[in-house]
Amino acid sequence: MLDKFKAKFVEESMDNLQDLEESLFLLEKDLENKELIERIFRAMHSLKGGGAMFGFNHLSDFTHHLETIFDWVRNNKLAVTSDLITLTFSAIDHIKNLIKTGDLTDEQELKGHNQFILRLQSVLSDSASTLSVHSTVDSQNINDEISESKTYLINFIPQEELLQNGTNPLYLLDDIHALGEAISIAYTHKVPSLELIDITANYCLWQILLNTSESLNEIKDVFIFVEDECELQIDLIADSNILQKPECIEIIKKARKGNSLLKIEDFQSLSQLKPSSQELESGEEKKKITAIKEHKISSIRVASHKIDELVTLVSELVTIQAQLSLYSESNEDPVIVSLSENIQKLSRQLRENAFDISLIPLQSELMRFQRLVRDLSKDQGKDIDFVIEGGDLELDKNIIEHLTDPLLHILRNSIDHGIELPEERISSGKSPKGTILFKAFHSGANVIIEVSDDGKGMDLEYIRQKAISKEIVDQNAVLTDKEVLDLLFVSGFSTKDAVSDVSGRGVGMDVVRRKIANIRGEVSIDTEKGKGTTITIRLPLTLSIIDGLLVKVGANQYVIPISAIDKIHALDPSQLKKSFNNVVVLDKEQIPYIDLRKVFNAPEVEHDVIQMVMIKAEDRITGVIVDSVIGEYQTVVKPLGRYLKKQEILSGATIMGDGTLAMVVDTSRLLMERKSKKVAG
Amino acid sequence: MLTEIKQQFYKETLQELKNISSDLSAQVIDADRKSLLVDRIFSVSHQLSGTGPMLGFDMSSKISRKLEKTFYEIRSGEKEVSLQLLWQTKRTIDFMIDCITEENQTQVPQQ
Amino acid sequence: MEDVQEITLLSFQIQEDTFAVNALKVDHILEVPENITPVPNAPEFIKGIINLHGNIIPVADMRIIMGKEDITSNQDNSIIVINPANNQDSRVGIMVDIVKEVIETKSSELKETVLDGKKGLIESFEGTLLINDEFIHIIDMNNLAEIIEK
Repeated sequence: MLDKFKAKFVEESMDNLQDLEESLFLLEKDLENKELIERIFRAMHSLKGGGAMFGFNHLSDFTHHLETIFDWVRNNKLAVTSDLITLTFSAIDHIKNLIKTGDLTDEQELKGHNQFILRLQSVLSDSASTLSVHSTVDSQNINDEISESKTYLINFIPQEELLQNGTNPLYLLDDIHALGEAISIAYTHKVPSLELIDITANYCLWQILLNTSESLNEIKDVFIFVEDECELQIDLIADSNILQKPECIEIIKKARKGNSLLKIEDFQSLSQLKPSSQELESGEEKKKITAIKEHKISSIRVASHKIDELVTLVSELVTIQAQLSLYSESNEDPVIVSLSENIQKLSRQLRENAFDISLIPLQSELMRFQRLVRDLSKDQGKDIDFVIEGGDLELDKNIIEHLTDPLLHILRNSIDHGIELPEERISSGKSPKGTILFKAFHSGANVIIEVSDDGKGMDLEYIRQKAISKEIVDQNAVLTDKEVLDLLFVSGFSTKDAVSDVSGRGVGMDVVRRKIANIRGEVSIDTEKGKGTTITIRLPLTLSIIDGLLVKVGANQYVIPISAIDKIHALDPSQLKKSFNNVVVLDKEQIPYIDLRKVFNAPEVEHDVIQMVMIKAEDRITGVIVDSVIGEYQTVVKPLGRYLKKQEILSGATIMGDGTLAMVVDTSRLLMERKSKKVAG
Repeated sequence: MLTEIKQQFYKETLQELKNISSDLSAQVIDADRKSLLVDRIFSVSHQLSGTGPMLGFDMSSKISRKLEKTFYEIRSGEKEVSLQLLWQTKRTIDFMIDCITEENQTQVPQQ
Repeated sequence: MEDVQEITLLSFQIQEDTFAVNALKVDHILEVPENITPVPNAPEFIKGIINLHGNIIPVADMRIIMGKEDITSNQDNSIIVINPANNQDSRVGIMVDIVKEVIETKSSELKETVLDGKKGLIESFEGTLLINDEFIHIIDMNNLAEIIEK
């Protein structure tokens, strides 16, 4: 169970770190921005706290030192410099590592860790020697020995789900009343009209004026098990009992009548509090609440599997709705027909909505790219302007997950091989500063991502020679420019002779192409010597849904993506019998074919007519023989998961309307396997 | 077989919840008993959150997660046990008793 | 926390042997559904895939993994859906003869596993428990996951 909290902590910390990096980038451009400094400090603070709680001791200790630095910064005791930002960036990398690995055990790593801490400490001691440090006595010394009673205003705003989680708010109110003298006001203005009421939902919210001599913690403990299901704010409004004062009673009356919530300011005239101490008690609490509120307005966090579930349910709904319209058409009952049409409209909208939700902006990954460009260009003494266009473009989250690695690799190539050193650029008449443009945009049903640099471009002759020396092509082969560039995608081809730290670790464009192909995308290269290189990635909008043709092979059902299909042909069995070397002649053309029954080891059954699905790939047609064609089907593809990843011909499975499963055929894999003769024709 | 496991788990959990609830009703709880009680509450909530969902006690395990989290914090010294907290704990445990009983009667093991 | 950890196990039977898995990593226990969709060209121990609440879960037959000859089915057969790495991708159903019980014990009770001969494809166990003269071998889920993955 603790593991689950830990996992949650790790997830949240990664978010925190991303926020940190983002703020740091902005701070680099605006060194004195108070708001950013505060954000950075806050992110560090919660990392420290969470780390200690979940047993990440090294993390917590390390972040503590970092936090201290930024505490000094926000108190104007230390100035932000570019060095400090660089140090903080590398500290963030170290923190990431600590989150991934947990506490360090390796002695070498531990040594590095401790040295890093010393570096952080030296930042403070260096600055302390030039600045006289004021001892910071915590002014928040809360006086524990208050025996007098105080009056608090409690805002208790439960979520609608409160009752479903087994909490009876009336009990809680009882418990509050038991702490002292209390007046509670229930607000019912959120209760919807009768026909919309969900009897299991809670629509009420409460404000309670409480006079008690118990501590703030004691009051908070009343709500301990509902913390996550409500907004809670407790403010000290007076140092004495004001409940019986006529002014107070008047205020409460007004609030009850007008259904308008009490504010702390309402009690200002009544309170004998010095404003500063009021701030002191409620300050932190208030900040927390406002932070939560702001968050709520812009977005909510939903576990990604819940979204997957939603998409699945909606797709099942669409399937069932299709069955309903079929039935209503044959039934001719006008009521059912019109109902069915309405449901069809609604489920369309619902489907579009659900798919829209599962898209996330590319922005979320761009931070890593910015980091890479910044760090690498500094390392290599290159000056690079990284320009992003279309960062707000949205893509299926599954695509984005698989896109990051290839894009990182492409960017590395641009920095490492593309952009020249400043002096080199000047001598070839360019500006010393290079540019890498990252551009994402829609094009029809596709998304295009372009990464272009204004570096030295690729030398086609060099690539050709290299391919010849590696015996990838024959010396006498005549190749077009495009064919030469295609050589870069051949496995084992790497252009840089000296293996640099950056790219050329044996992985090259072939890996990029394969990874992009996994998410049904394509990669192409354009280059001009001396001018630069552009890598273009073309992607489908969504992975999870495809239009497919449902076919039957043996006892199983399979889905072939419509996008790969040219047409369906009916063959006479005799045509196959006459065929030779798995090639059949159709309309005087020779068509190679694959018999799926053999591929899937299904028994061969005699049919009167043989169904052949014609698949188009790279301008060539290949026939695929199945037992029968059932029909078109829009389908949600689910992955087969890690245990079945060896089944390369199958790219996933889909759940049919009746709950049974059909597997999705990856046609390009199927054709590739045929080429490599692994698959019998 | 599954039904038997479920029954055994249900009986044991219910009994422990009831014991804790009655212990929490005691007028005075001294320090030693308090720390023992904290351990017991943590352990029963830990078990229910972990094993409960598997056996179809969805609601009660959801609630027990809150207890588990709070008592984890108490055990690691991050949170103090106040009388109010024990009182709210009793409330929650009483509700869990109702909940687990109801879930045992109505829920059928998954498909 | 202390060194001795409380552990919860779910035990099951494969013919004459009793095994157990960490119950906290068990997501579901299912009856064997009528239609398991076979996956062509998959290893022999993969029975196929099933639809579990809208997710595709592969099912492996533990009897074949354990190298047992007799693989006839009966009513008591169950599928234990385990989740070794706590994510959707690592969920897999293992088909066993019969699910036995939930065992609460302490890590200090575990003895090193000494087996008379190999247990099929399984290479390592987390330990063995002796309860009422019966040996219960605790399966190393990560090892099991690797085997199924291959």
